[in-house]
Amino acid sequence: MIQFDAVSLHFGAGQTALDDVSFEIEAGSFTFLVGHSGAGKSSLLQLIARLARPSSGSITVGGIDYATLRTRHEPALRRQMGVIFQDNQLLGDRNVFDNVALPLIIGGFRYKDVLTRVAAALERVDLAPFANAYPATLSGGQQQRVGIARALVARPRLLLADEPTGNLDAGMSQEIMELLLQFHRSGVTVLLATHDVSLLQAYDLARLELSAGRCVSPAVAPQRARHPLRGRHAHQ
Amino acid sequence: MPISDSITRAAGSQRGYTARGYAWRRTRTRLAAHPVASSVSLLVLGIVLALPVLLSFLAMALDDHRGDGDRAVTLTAYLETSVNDLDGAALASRIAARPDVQTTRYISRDEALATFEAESDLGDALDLLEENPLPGAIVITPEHAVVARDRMQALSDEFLGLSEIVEVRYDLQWVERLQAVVSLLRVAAVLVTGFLTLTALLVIANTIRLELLARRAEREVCHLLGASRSFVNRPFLYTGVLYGLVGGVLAAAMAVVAFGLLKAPADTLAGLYGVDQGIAWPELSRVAAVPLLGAALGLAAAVTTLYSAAPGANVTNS
Repeated sequence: MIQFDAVSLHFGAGQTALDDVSFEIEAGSFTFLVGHSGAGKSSLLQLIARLARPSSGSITVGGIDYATLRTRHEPALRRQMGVIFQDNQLLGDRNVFDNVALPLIIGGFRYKDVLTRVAAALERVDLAPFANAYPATLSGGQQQRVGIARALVARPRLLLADEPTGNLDAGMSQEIMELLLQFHRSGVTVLLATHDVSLLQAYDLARLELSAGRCVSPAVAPQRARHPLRGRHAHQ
Repeated sequence: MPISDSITRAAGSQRGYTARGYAWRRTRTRLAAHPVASSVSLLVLGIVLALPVLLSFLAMALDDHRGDGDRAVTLTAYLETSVNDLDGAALASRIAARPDVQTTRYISRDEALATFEAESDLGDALDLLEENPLPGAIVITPEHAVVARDRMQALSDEFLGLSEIVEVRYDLQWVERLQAVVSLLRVAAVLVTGFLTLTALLVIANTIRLELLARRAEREVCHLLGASRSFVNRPFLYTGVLYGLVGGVLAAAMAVVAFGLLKAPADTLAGLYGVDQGIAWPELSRVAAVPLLGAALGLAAAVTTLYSAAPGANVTNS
């Protein structure tokens, strides 16, 4: 699904965000992208979302070699991905429905499909009664669930999550993780960047570890994934 | 899956879910979100555009009357005293047949004497003379194209070549003064129109620029969600068009009101220069063109802002 081959990303003034990173993530997997702040997690996600371009190396996502990808096709590529942010990036002047509907409007979906899909997405994140509410009136966990609904409403094949639980307490983090696992089970490939140790301890999932821009452990699928609350296992 | 009422209510109008409908909805929402600021900007735009619009209305009205003042320009050809009325009238007819002459009027020696006696204090003095000393004359109104100093002189010289004519007089000075004033006003109007149109362009461009800054987060989110450049930029283009359109409507309304106030004194002035009909109201099509031109100006301002060094322009690079 995602393949990095000797990818480096340098900024001006000799700053290195990623240095010779190589890994492969299989379709349908759930992978933690681990590392301290500044390790290069966000840069790596930006490269996958084609928001930045590598200084060297090659990237292939879903069979598309980014080296041959034309600029005008980048929006279409992004529409096949869902993105979740730490600060959820909801638009404050629009209600929950409009926030979740945005990827569908961008994708040119018909009104009827927009209604159906948004209703289903809000149902899945348990926010259907809040469709007309504005983000500022929701709790942090609810806002993040809106963000998840927005990321998944267009049914992407790949979900990139950048510290989605970073601003949430343990209970809400658990709730968000459960939602993401639920979507993962329906076939979505998930790459979740985090440095939340408790989360990593609670879920025994594949990890890709970065340190100072270098890949220190390739993504390896674990034998099992523990469910922290109910004491049962979610298998990869 | 059945759609609940709350979802349908939250969704609002169906029209807002196409790319263009969405852009219009965003544009209207943003304008409505800051009613005072939006109204002030629109009013400023209307006022800035009103003066060039008024000047253009006046210029067009003056163009419609171009040549009216020239009709008051005539040459007077004085005839030999030996030319009798029959020959004088025949000569007037011959001159009138020329392509560079509009009309002629023959003034007989008797008519000249009667006019002199009626209009001059020296009329009684003529009674002391044995015979009428005044010559017959032909008043010649040339075609509009001839009303220029060199052409008038050439025409005058040509008439002087005729044996019956001894002298030709004409007065171009006041026409030349009028033409100079009109030319000056025309250049001033073009300059003022240029400056104020540029100001309107900058007002809209600045509004778009502020919108770009205020909506940077929205643009970035749309970009991340896979929006094309046209999708991201369209609301700003519509904002420019809407500002230009509404500003144009306000400008047209203000200009028409101002035109109405200026019409009466302008008609009086026109009358003083021999123009019988006053200046005409601008045609409806000309008034209707103002909002359209305003919209085009708004679009140009938005395009210039979006595709120049706009704040956050990197967001629209792909």
